[in-house]
Amino acid sequence: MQQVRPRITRILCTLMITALMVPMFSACGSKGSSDEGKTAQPDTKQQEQKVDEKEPVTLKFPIWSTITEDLFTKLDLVNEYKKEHPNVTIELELLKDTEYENTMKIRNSANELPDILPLKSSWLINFKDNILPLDDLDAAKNNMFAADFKVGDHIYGVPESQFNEFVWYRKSIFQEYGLEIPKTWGEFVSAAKKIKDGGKYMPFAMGGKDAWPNYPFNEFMPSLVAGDGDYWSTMATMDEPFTKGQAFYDAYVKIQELYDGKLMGPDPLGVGFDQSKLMFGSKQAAMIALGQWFGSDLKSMKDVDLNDVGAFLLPVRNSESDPFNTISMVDTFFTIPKTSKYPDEAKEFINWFFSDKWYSKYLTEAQLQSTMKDVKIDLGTMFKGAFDVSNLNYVLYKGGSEGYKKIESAIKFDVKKMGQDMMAGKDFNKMMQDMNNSWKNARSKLK
Amino acid sequence: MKTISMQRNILLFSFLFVPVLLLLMFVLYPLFELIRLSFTDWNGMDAKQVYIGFDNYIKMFTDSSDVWLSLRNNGFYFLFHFIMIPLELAIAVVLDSKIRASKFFKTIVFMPYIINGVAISYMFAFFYSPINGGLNGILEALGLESLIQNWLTNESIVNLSLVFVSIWRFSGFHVILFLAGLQAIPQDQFEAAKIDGANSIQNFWYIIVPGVKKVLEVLLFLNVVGALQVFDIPYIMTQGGPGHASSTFTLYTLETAFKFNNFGMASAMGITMLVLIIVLNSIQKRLFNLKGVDEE
Repeated sequence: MQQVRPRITRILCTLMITALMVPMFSACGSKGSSDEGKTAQPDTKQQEQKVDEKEPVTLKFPIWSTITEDLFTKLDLVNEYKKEHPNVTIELELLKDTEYENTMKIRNSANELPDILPLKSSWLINFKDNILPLDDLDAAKNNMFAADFKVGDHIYGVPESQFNEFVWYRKSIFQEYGLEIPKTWGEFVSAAKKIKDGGKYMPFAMGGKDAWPNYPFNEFMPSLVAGDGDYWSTMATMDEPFTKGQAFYDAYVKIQELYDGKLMGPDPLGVGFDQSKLMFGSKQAAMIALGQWFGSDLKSMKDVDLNDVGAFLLPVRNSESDPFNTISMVDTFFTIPKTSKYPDEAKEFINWFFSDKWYSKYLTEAQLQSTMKDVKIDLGTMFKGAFDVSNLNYVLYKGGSEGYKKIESAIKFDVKKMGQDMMAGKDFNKMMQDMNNSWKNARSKLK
Repeated sequence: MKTISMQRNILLFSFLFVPVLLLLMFVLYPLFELIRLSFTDWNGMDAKQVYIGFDNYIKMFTDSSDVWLSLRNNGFYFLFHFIMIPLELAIAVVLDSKIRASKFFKTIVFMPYIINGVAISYMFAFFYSPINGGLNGILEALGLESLIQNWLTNESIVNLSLVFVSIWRFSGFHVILFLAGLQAIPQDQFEAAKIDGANSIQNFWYIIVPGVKKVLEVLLFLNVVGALQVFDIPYIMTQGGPGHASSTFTLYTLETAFKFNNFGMASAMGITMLVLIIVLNSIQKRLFNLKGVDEE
């Protein structure tokens, strides 16, 4: 027995050491074999050809929308680009929209950002130290909005599309109740109330459970009331922006009126976006407030009579003599991370993407407006008449300055959560007072 | 002999090298990194990390009412799971007795635990939905319209609705743990008690409860950890809403890190949770031992 134990121990030792050593040797081995492969090129012609050919490149390109993925597949982005750049393969990766930003933050901390990184305008500030300036890029120079979203002195992203925010409505329901397209906030609320009083349809579909669908109101209305697309930055210079008479307060009084009117069904907070979308699609609801992008969603929904769907701009003004402020959004900023192994190829790809050949075809299919000078897109019949309003004024929405971001982070300022609280019936004046206190406090600490 | 002891050492080293290395890499290093980050103002993006001492910890408890609200919500999960423990034990005792189709009932009771948590959350989100929702439909069918509620949006009941889902999911698992404990009690104790003329209540109190004491300890620990770490159910069903009404500590930590780019504060919250679990568990253990259920 005594002889057997050491032998077993010895065998186990050998096994264990071998197991530890195998990966080390195999790593060395694989390098060696690849080197061998390289040296074992007998044909000198092939070698010369290889020098002429460009190195194969794979550009990683994440996207956050299934609609975009469908469009890229339909228009065959990968092969279209390969036709002109045979050595470049575009590797698309679809990520969940709600997780996209988090995923990129995590990848950034691991230095694993993709080669082309689409960002929303408000994320540009967060990523500014990790992405390359694109001031010299042709696509940036010919873009109408890229310079508006400079961070510091540099252009970091080229926005892909421009779109407006609409109230989508059912034409037949408006006809049934003899309603005109509202031109003021008062007319808008009255129209919704008339539909509610009819008892047949829900005036407004709101996926309040997901918080974000209240953005046309809670996020954009302060900017619309102020007529200032960079209102968050303006707020960052004020101590008490939640006071009566300030654009934020005035906008939120209007929103509270809408929420208090119970115009969004019995429990808007119990309904998610998907359910609200279906309610509008199945004509249970007369209106839904969403961006231009919703047009693609509608087209993909079955059994929706698109001829019965129209769109109008959300009227926020008090009277027709006031300017009709409407949000204009630019979205999906193409950026290139500093960690990209192929920044030149990525720049070339962005230039190609924004070239007339691909860009017009893509935006026409996506039904979005162009951000490039000289490219005009036909939006189709759904938006017919939507822009025929007096005193129309486009308000270019921005995500807020660095100062605003600091306050936002310090007090966890979340307008969409505030929207939920308002729908839940929280004390409005107390909420505004509390916000004033937190805001002032945060500003004094950050000074 | 020297060679044998050397070989033994080599063997021990070889066997322990990989697990210790993994432990250092994936448990201890992240933990120390988390502690370090909790003293910084890192936003998750910048290369710059400024050390700010205990500011994050002080701010967490003095300048953030939502932290307390979240902890209160965690308290709901803890309290109701705690209240359920006697009932779970009672169910286990019933299932342990020779009732007809006990295997079938055991399977049914355990089933919710093996279903994916995300699926359960979605299922109950539809069950509670105000539009074509199952619960309101049942109440309507029974003529109990007056009881119809906005189950996930009424701030005063949203946490109860979520706690119910948590209980539905985990109680079966607790029952199975109790069953394992019950089956470990030697049968001769019951026989001796029978000879001594003990009734079923005495059996329960003097044999069963002390017999499952170890299981009870495990359950109480799981309860503290589970209640503080509850995430998937509120995240999927309400996203902590309306407002922050059903937010929990983990949900709030996640929001602090990723939505508001305050990784320093989120790290401090992570460390606080770790400390809370240790403190609450030791308090619970002490209280449990003081009661001394096995002091016959």
